[in-house]
Amino acid sequence: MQVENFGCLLINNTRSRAYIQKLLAHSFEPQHVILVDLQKAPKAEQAKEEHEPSLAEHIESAYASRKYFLYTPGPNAILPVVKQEPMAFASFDPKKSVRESLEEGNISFETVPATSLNDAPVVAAVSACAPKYLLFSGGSILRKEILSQGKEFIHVHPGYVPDVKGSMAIEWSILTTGRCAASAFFMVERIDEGDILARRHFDPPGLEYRNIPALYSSHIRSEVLLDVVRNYIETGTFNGEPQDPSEGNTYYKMHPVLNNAVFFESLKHETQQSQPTE
Amino acid sequence: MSEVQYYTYTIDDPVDRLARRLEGCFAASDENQTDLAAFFLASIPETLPSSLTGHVQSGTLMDIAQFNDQLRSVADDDSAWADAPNSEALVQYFEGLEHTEQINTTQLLGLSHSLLTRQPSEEPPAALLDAAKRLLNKFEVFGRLFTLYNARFRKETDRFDNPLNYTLLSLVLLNLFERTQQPEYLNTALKLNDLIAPIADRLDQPAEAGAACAALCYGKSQVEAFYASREFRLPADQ
Repeated sequence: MQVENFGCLLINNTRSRAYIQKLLAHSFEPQHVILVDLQKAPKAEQAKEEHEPSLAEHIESAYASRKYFLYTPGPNAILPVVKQEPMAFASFDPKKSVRESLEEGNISFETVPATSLNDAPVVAAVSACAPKYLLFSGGSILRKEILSQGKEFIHVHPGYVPDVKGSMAIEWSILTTGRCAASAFFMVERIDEGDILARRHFDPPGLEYRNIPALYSSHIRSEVLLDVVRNYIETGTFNGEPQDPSEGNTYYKMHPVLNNAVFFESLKHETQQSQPTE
Repeated sequence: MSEVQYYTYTIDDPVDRLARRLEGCFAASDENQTDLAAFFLASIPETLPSSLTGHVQSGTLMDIAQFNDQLRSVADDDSAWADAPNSEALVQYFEGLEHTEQINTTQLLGLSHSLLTRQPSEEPPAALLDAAKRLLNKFEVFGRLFTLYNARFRKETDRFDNPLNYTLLSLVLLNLFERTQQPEYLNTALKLNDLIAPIADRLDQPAEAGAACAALCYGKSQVEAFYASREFRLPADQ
C-alpha cells in the first residue's frame, strides 16, 4: 500500500538500504523517493609549505585530523582492535543498492546528483516533490534553506532523546545506561531537538569481532521507522511530542579510551547473559 | 581475515620532556613563573613524576589574589581582566559572568581551576559549571577556544592560539569528571590533552609547562580511576 504524503530523501548508504527494504517488506510504499547521488566535491590544490606550523595552525590541524597522540600502538594493551566486516543484525540485505530496491518495488523516484544534501538541485527537488513528510537517512546536516521548503523531515537517531543526543549515540548509550535505543523525530535546525514521533529501547548488541556490529545502528533505526509508519497509517497523522531542549545531554565523538570502556561494558553484558541461571 | 592491533594510553614521552624543562626552571628559580607552575602541579600532587614532587610546596601557599595577578602576568591577552578577587569574592566573580561585557578565557578557566581545587568537597557555583560546559561545547564543535568571549560566549576576538587555555580547560574538566564521574568531561579532557601533548616542546613559559604537565598526569590518573571504578580487567591481566 502507498503511504500517502510520505516520501524519502535517501542516499546510497547502509541506513537507506535498511529503511527502503524494511518499508517495502512490510508493504509500506513511499509516495515518492528523492535518491541523491552524493559525489565528492573536488578538493582545491594547496601548496605545501615547509615550515613549523604556528600554534594556531597546530590547533586547527589537530581538530581537523582528530589524532589521538597519547593513544598509540603499544605492548601494554588496553584493547585489541579488530577490523572485520560483521554481518549480525542483517535484518536487510546490506549489499542490495537503494536503486535496485526502488526499481523492484516499482516506487516513483528521481536521482539527483549533488555534493551535499544542501545543494540547490536537492533543495529544488525537495520543494517540488508532492509528499509533505520526508524520511531523512543521513549524508549531511540539513541547513536552514532545505528545512524551510514547507516539508517535515523525519530522522531516526540511534539514542533515546532527549537523554542521549549527538554523535556516537550507541556507544554513549551503552556507556551511560547499559542499553541502546532509537528515537524518531521531526528535524529542526537545532540538532536532535525536534518533536518525538516514536522511541524505544533495545538490548545492547553482542560484540562481533570485539566491535559494535556495523549493521546494528541501521537495524534499530529501521525498526523504529516501522513503528512510526505503522502509527501514521493507523491514525492518519504524525503525532509529535515536544522535547524540552534543556533536558538530557549532547554527546560528541568518543575518545578511543572511552570507546574501550564500551567494549568492556559489552563484554560484561555478554558474560552475564551467558552465565547459567539458578 | 582479522587484523588485530593493540593500543595503549601513555603520557611518558611528553611528561618526561615537560618535567626536564620544569626541573631546569625550578633550579633557575624564576619565582613569578615557577610559583605558578608549582601551583598547577600542586593541584594533582599524587600523580606527578617523582622528579617534580619536591617542587610543589610553594604553589600550595598562593592565595587567590596572588594567583590572579600571576596568571595575568603570563596571559597572552589580559584584556577584560577582572579585579583580583579574594577567596570570598570568587563566587561573586562567577555569578557576575552573565552581566560581564567581556570574559577573559584565561582568567575564567584559571579561577575555575583555582576554586575547584581549593574547595574539593563543595558544590561548584552553577555559573562555573555553565561556563565549563559552554567551553566544552565550543571546543568540541569548533576546535578552538578564543581568548575573549562575551557573556553569551560569542567570540570577541579572532585569537585562539593560547595553549594555556586548552590546558586549563582540561584541568577544569578533569576535576569535574573526578567529582561527578560523568564521562563526557573525561572525553573532552582527553582530546584536549591529545592537542597539548605534541606541542610540549613549544610551551616556553614555566607556567604553561606546569599546567600542561599537570593536565597530562591528571588525565592519565583519571583514565586509570575510570577503568578501576568499572572493574574493567585489562586483557594483560586476564
